[in-house]
Amino acid sequence: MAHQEIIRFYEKYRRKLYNIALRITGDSLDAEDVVQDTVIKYLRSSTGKLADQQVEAWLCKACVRASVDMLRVRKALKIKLERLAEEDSEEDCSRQWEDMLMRDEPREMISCIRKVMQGMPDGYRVVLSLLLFEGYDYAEAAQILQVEESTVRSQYLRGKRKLLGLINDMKD
Amino acid sequence: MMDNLQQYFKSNKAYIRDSEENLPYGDESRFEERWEALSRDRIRFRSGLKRRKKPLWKVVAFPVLASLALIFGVRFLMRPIMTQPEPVHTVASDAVSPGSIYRDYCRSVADITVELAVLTAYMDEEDAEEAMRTLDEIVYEPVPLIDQLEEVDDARQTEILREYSARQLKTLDDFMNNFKQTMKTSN
Repeated sequence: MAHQEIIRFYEKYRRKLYNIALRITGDSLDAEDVVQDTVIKYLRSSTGKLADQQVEAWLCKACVRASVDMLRVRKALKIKLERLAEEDSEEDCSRQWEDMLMRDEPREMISCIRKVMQGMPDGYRVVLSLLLFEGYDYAEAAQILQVEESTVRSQYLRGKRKLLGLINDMKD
Repeated sequence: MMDNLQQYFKSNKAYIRDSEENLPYGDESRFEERWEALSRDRIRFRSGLKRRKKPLWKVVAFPVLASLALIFGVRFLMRPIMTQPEPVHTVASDAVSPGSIYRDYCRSVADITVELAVLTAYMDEEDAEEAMRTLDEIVYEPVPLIDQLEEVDDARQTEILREYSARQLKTLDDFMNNFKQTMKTSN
C-alpha cells in the first residue's frame, strides 16, 4: 500500500476506532495509541482482500480487544471488576432508567451517557461500553474481559445504577 | 436477554456515531511517525536476520570434509582388494590399515569443524571467520613429501599417518580448548 493510501485508510477509520478505545480506556492518549496500533496491525497482517464492512468489523473487534488489554495491563482490570462487585448494590434500576430515557431526545441522552461514563471507574465503564455502545452480549463481553459471565451481569447492573445516579446529579 | 437500556441503545444506534469525538489535534502526523518508525525497525530486524544467516563456508565445510573422508576411505578400503588376494582377517587388518586411520582422522576433523561452527554461530562475523581460518590453517597445513606416502609399504604408511593425525588432532584440541576458554572469559 502506498503512503497516501495508508493515510487515507487511517483517516477513514480513526474516528470510529478512537471513540471505541476512548469509551473503554477512558484516556485520550491511550485511545490514540490503541487506534494507531490497531490500524498498523491490520496493515501489517495478511488478511487478504476484505470488503469494507469486514475491514471495519475486523478493526472494531481488534480495537476493543486492544483497549481492554491496555486497561488490563495498566490498571489491573480484573481486580477492579471483582472489588467493585463487592462495593455497590446490585439492585436492578430498570424502572428508573425507563423514566430517565423518556426525559431527553436519544441524541442528547446518548451524548450525556457517553460523557458521564468517562468519569466512571474503569470496571464499570468497560462493561457499559461493551454492552451498550459496542452491542456485545454478556457471554461475548465475559470472553473479552476474561471473567465469568455472572461477573459481567452483576457489574452491568451496578454500573447502570451508578450511571443513573451520576446523570441525576448532573441534571439536578 | 436485553434490558430496556440495552434495547434503547440498539434502537438508537445511529446517534452513537453522532455523539462521537474527534482525535486530539495532530494525530495524523503522529500516526505517520509511528508507521515510519515501525517500518524502520522492521527493516532493521529483517536485515539483522539476513546478517545472521550462516556463511557459505559453514554450510559447505561439513559436507566437503565428510565427502573427502568417504572418498579416501573407500580408496584405502578398495586398494587391498584390487591389488592383493582377499585377506583372511579383513576386519582385524582393516582396523589398523592406513585407510582406517585416515578415515578416523577425517571424522575427528569434521566433528571439530562442526563444533566450531556451532560455537561461532552467534558470534561477530569477523571473529567467526578468524576462528574458522585458524582451523583451516591447521587442517590444511602443507605436508612435505605427502605425494611420496603411497610409495612406502602399509606398515610404514600406518605409522606415518598415525603419528601425523595424532599431532594434528592434539593441535586442534589445544586450539578448541583455548577458543572455549576465551569465549568463557569474554562472556
